[in-house]
Amino acid sequence: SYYDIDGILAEEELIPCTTLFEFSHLGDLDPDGTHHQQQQNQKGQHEQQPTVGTFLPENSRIKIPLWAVEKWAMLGFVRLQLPRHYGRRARERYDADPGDANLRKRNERFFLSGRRLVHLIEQSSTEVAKAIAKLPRRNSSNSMIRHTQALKQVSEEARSLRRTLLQTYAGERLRKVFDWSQSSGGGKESGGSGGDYEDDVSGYLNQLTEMEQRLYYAGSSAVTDLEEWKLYGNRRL
Amino acid sequence: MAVAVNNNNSSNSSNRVQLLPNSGRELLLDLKRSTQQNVGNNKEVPVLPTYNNKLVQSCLQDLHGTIQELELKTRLQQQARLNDPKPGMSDRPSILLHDKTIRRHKQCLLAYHHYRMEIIKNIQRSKMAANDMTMIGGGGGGANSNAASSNGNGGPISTNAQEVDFAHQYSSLREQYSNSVFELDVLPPTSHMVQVRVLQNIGQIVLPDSGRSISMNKGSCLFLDRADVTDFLRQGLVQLYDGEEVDF
Repeated sequence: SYYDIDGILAEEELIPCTTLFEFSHLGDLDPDGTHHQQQQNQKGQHEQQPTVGTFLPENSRIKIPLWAVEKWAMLGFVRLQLPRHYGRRARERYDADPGDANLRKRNERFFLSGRRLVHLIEQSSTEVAKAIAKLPRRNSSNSMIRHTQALKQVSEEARSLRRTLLQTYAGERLRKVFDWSQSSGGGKESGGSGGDYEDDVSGYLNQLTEMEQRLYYAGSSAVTDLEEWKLYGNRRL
Repeated sequence: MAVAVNNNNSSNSSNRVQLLPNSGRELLLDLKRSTQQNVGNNKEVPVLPTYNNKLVQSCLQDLHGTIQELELKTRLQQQARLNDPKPGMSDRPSILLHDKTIRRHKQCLLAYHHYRMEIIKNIQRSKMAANDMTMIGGGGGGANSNAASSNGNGGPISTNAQEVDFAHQYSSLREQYSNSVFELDVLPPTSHMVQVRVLQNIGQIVLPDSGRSISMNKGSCLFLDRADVTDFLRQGLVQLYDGEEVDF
């Protein structure tokens, strides 16, 4: 939804990407700025730039939010990579032990951001591949071939990430969320009428993502309502 | 690897707008934090967080600054390429980024205000439901126009004048609709039926809304449609009865 706040915040995830040609006026995206300063010195007098650091040269590696890079990716201006916590090594760790991973530390909206990223990579790869396929064969160069191979590689990684996200969310972690929400009694949102089973769940909750926390509170609230109904709601008509 | 962050240390930052301002993000994070703080207080009555005018103004300033930056760049680009209306390849990423930034700020501001509007509507609905129940219980107090735009403690619902006005107009609209069409009820359908105890001998009567004929003898407990008994409750002829066994 357009107004979904969690969805908006999930798009703040920084995505590493590589520029495929020179970008004007965006030199500030690269705070180092040393390499394109040198490039300007090498270009000579006939290509004077109005201010220092206004060009982002080709093959610059930058990190930019998902919402900002979306259009660039769809038009093939940049080549996307996966952030470290969605990369191959991280995925292997999640696959090995999904229950104990502190996903909140990586990103509070880990699953939502991951899903958006996978969707963007798949869409942009399809669009760029279509555009490349439409080009005449004589225009294909080594860089174009390399770009196509890089697209394939990142698409495969995105598919693998999708599988990992699904398995991480729907397996042991989901089971644990159900278990804790049904048995730990009063959560933050409920009246805390759990009685014997009011456990301190703050340590566990601090490792959960926003989506998992909402699920936990919904379950905990349902348990509280059920207990309340058992005590006060079960009356004759 | 370089990270695209706010360039506060840039030598030209005082004259140039940040490429990726984070005021929209800060606004929504502030809203999430305020909402989470209020969640544990009372889940029955929604609470409106304080309006963060400072962050909203900051977001609007960034938005206008980005619009001006985009207009300036477009004009410079058009002057540089007089024979070609299309921007060059190297200029397109910055134009797209500015356009995306403008849309992003608008989305953040709209989401912030939309969320607050939903809370205000929930507050008004719960107030009207509470007033309805008070009237049925014989309390006699009705909603007045001042209560419609105030919170439970008597103060205004919000520090923002537009929100107070919205709350008042929403409440009036809802009341007008319920009076003209049917009685709006936030409770589940079973609450249309209420259990009452008759306090005085009234005899055989025909109920006004349902048209049923019943005998209202003192001490009898009846399960009737709420619309039928509203007048009797106001006159004190019957009282609400919750059905629990009590010692008389």
